[in-house]
Amino acid sequence: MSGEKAKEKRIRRVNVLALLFITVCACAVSYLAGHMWFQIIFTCLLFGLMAVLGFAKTGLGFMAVYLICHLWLQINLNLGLRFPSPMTFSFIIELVPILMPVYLLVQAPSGKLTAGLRQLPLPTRVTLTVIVILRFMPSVMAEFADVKDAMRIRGFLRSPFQVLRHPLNTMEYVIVPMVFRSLIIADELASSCIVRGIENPCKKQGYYLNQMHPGDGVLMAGALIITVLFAVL
Amino acid sequence: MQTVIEIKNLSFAYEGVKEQLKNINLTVLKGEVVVLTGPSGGGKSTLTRVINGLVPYFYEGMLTGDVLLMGKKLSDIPSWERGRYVGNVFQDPRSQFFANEVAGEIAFGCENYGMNHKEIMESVEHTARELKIADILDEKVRFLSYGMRQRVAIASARAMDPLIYVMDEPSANLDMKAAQNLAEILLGLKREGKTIFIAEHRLHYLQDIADRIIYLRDGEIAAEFLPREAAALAAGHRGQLGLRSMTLENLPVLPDTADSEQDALLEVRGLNKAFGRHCVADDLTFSCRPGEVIAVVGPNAAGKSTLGKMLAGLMKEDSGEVSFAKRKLKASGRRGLIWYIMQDLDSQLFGEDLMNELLTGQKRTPEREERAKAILASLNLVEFMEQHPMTLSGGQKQRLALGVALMNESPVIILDEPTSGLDGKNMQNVSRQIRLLAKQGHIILMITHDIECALSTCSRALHLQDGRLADDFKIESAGQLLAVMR
Amino acid sequence: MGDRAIYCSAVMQQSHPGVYFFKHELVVSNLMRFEIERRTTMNNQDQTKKKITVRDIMTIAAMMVLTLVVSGVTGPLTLPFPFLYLYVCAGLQMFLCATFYLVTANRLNKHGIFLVWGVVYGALLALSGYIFLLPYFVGVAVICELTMTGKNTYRSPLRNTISWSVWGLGMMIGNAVPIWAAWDSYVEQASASGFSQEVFDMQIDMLSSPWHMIGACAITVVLSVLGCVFGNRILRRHFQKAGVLQ
Repeated sequence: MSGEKAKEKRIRRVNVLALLFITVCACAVSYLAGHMWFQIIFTCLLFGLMAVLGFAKTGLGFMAVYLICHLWLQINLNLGLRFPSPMTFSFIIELVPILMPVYLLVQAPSGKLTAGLRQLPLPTRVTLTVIVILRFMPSVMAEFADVKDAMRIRGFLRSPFQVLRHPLNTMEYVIVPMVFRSLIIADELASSCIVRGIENPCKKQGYYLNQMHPGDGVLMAGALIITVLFAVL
Repeated sequence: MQTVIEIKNLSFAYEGVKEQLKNINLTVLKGEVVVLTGPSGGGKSTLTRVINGLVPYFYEGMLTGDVLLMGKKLSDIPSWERGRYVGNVFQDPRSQFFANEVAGEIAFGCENYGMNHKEIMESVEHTARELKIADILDEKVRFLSYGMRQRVAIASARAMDPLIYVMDEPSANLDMKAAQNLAEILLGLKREGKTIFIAEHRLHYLQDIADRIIYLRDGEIAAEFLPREAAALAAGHRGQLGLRSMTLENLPVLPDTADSEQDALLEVRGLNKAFGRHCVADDLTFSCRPGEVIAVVGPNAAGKSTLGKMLAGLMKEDSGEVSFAKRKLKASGRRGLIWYIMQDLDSQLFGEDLMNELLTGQKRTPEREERAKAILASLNLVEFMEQHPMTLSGGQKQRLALGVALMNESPVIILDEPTSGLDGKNMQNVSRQIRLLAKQGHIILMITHDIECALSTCSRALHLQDGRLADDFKIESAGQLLAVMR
Repeated sequence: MGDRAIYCSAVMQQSHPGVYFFKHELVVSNLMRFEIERRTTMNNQDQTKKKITVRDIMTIAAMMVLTLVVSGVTGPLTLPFPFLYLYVCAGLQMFLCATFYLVTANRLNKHGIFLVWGVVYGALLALSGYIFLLPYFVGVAVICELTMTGKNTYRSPLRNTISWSVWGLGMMIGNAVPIWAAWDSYVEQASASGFSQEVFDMQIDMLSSPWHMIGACAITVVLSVLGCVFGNRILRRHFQKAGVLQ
């Protein structure tokens, strides 16, 4: 149990800017890596990072998708199959190493992410938009599940054939309640923030400190070295 | 005694709408707990928004008159400074939280007011200890129960230690136990000398806390009661005012009118469902006769909504069977036959006007149009026929949702918290409508925390606890239901 | 009595709130209506000059999440079919998400919507591997903002359709760039395992002819316009009717 708790605490201690830096490195490796094997090694290292921070199970999920796509791509190429298009697999293969550090970023407390973004030279409005987008994601998913249930009860989703026969109606049934609910939530969240002083133009500090620890420095340096190596070799 | 809130000759109208508040004059003293109540649409929420400054800053419109906080004009205080004097708790536990973790949420106000890191940490830890949530500081808010979330909301307001707390129906989505917990917190705040201004329909949990009850109707202060006076109101007078009961113990019970001779129409046998290791339905077995209105009660997360969704065919059961008229039905076969009305009505309204709402999805024939009109007439919604469903009040939307179920000719209707947030009059309207449907032979299952509605509508109760059917009894007294709900 | 008397009464009521007028209910409601209409007109006229507030950011963020979710689902769905992905995907996303943009534009009615949209979208796509997409999308956003110069343009169906179509073109070209780059690496891998030359030639031909690019642009613009037509219809039938938008 204490091992798990220690792992939980690690994700809270990691500097979010370090994770952001690793995301950028992942983009660079995906784009610039000279050889496919470099990308595979980088992804394995990312899995290692996820495991150390306590997300081994999710990391395994990502790795599974990654390896399956690689295998399938090889099969397709060897057998000359065109469907699913090899480009699909190329895209997923490039996306997975980027999604892994992004997943870690999202697991950090949002207050810490705010603190980290405040350290960057970004306008407050942009920072706020990014944080609020992350905040809305789970809400929108929950609302969509409700709307889908309501549509099923009403019989709007009886069969794929029915949906294809009335695509515009189906779109309207989904869009209208989703937008109404999203606007209501946006307004309520905005009023809740305004009454707690979000518009105060003063310089703000946070409950969470986004400090640079030696571990973060090592992480960033390591990521940089590997990225440069993979790009150059 | 120091005057903390002073409202002089206040009138307000939202943009493009009729006047919401008319010539309000109100004074609140330090340490007072003032409860604002009245029929829906009477201006309660608007008045709370006037005090915290959201009106007219956020909700634009025409405001005349003065609002003074501790002698200072509210309009002279910058919008972001008002949070120092007025802490807020809103109704919906889903949309008022900004941060994803409890600590971040409590710290939110402190961060915005320029406190340094050390001060913020101290304030958060101190507030969390006082509200007994120090052990969940690292938890994600969206995994907490609604009752705990409202506790976090109060903590977030408290972290700035404001003098005044303004709350807009804070107990609307809470079960009875959580409402009692909320009452304890409010009592604690009152003992510290804080001034609390609450807009509420549910008055019973505020019985020992409120100093004054202000009755707002059509935007005007129509009456003022002391709590004991409100409790002493005759049922008839209370009904006229559209209020909920202050006391729950002596509420009358509905006489059982269901035909006990008829055979059971809906039969549930051995229903089981688990999400991983969490069991939400454990060997549920019961049956329902036509014309029965059954309350499904129990603590939050007992599996009530899951039962509703399974019966309606939205979720497949792991094992067990559901039969209707002696025919076993799979989940897909139950959809449409057993109609489930979810708690949040906004996610279930699809039409551009009421007729369209009832007719959309199927071919528009003259017969269906006539039926739709007849249904709207029986639900007293004909005058709103051309309006968009989203312009209706909570009670009207609930009746519209019933209308959709009727259009579909569903013999079994399951309602999930149909009266949460409704005032006394609207609750009685919904209750009357449900009893009418039962008389026509429908089976109605009502998942509810609202004991008043359960007593005036239901003859029988199913008590769920941890997914098990703990009890299945005929409702004979308010005390019986209270024991189960508390 | 006439409008002038009603207007004077309205002003009087504002400056002398304590004075009680004995008025017939109908006249009082006319009075309020006039004043509200006057103020609403004033608000509309100078709204487009105001800066973006917290409420606006929440609205943009909420609508962007809906857009991102829809785009995030349609993109991978069309990916297995290269033709669809290249030529139809952007247009399809424009069609499906037009309503979300129109709701934002109508509700906020302020300049800067596209800039926020562009920065966030560009940043997210930049994360998918192509850093230069960020300045690219900011550039597209600036062009879209330029198409919206003037007062109250964000409530004009025609202007919104134009700017949304421009954004759609920007998206299409932006989507095509990564595929060109991915195409090269795919070609490398494929040629390493001996894919037939004829198949290659056909696919390269399909993707590099200027007429195909023009065709793709046309499809995107048509779908964007249709999306705005559908979206404006939804706005009228639902959101404006319910009073949530003007």
